[in-house]
Amino acid sequence: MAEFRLPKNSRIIKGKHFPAANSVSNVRKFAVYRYDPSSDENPRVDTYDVDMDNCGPMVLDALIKIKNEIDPTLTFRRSCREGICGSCAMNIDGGNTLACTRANDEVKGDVKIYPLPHMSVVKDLVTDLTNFYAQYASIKPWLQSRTPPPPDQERLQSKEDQELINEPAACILCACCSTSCPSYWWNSDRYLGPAALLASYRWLVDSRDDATGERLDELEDPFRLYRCHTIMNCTQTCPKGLNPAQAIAETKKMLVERKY
Amino acid sequence: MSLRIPLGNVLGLGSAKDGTSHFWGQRLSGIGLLILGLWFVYAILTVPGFTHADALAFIGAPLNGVLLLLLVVTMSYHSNLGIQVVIEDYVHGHGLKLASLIISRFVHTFLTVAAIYAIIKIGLGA
Repeated sequence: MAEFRLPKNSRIIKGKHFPAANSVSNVRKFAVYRYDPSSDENPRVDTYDVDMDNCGPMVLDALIKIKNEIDPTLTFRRSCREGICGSCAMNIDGGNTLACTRANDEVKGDVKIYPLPHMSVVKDLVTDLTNFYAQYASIKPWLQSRTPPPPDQERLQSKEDQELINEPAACILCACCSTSCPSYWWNSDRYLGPAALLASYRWLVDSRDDATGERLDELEDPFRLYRCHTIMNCTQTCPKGLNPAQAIAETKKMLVERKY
Repeated sequence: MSLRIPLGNVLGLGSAKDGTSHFWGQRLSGIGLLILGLWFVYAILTVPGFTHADALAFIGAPLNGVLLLLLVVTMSYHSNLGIQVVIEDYVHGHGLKLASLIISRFVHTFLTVAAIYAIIKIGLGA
């Protein structure tokens, strides 16, 4: 039933320290989670002393500098370095965010970097997002309409209708929200999580989509939707400033509305 | 290890098409409890005394009896829904989860019926 300690092979041990050269004056410590499931070693936290006079402003800049100049075995995902691809989502200074949009100056003391919480670790800061993506696929994130589009133009939308999907459509699927949610930690096999539910809401309020009823049918489930207990970690942590908690609340309201 | 595709795992047994009644019932009973709870605090603060005879007189008054019955039923209903959520959240073995849900439902039912019996017995002066 309840496990209060991590399994023996998951407990974090003290890692290696990579000191900076003596000539470096402006040093910042980066404590980074390291784990390789293919080895028999426990996870550890390595500490890197980084020369901040020759480093970019963001946490991702420091990670890239560490990988290029100090320890090429450090593994993490990154791509766009401007907060639009969602690849570099990780736990920095105790909160889930994107390494490319979190400035080193925003963090007090040593910069502590861990993978997204409560996910299987592929290596170091890379987590297995297979289930997360499958949950996104399960909500059918595409337009469903019973009528064909007009032959000579797109399906039109009023400005007001477009504004309804503006915010939920800005989600980049970085998984910061879902992996910050305790309900998702305990029941991610059945609870869809805030990211998938926000994506679903984006189609529920799309004026061009006719599958609202079917979408609500699929969501109406004690686990898929109603595991959300309005903890609001999702909204607090979203690096894009979106509000998945409100989208979930609106979805619950729709379900009440069609019943009573 | 399962070789089932991840989407199959997520879709699982499909949607239960249920949960809205639970959600609505919990909020509605919450509002009810707020009102009845305020009345109960007021009633306890203004009760003339705390002897056995005072208690019998208090429960025996028709309005108090009705409101107490409502309080007991609403509280039990709300608590049953709440405990159900806690069990579903934290108990993961299917058998253990089902057993816990059944025991919780039985205990809540027993306590509610016992309380109703006591209030009615006193109210009818038996």
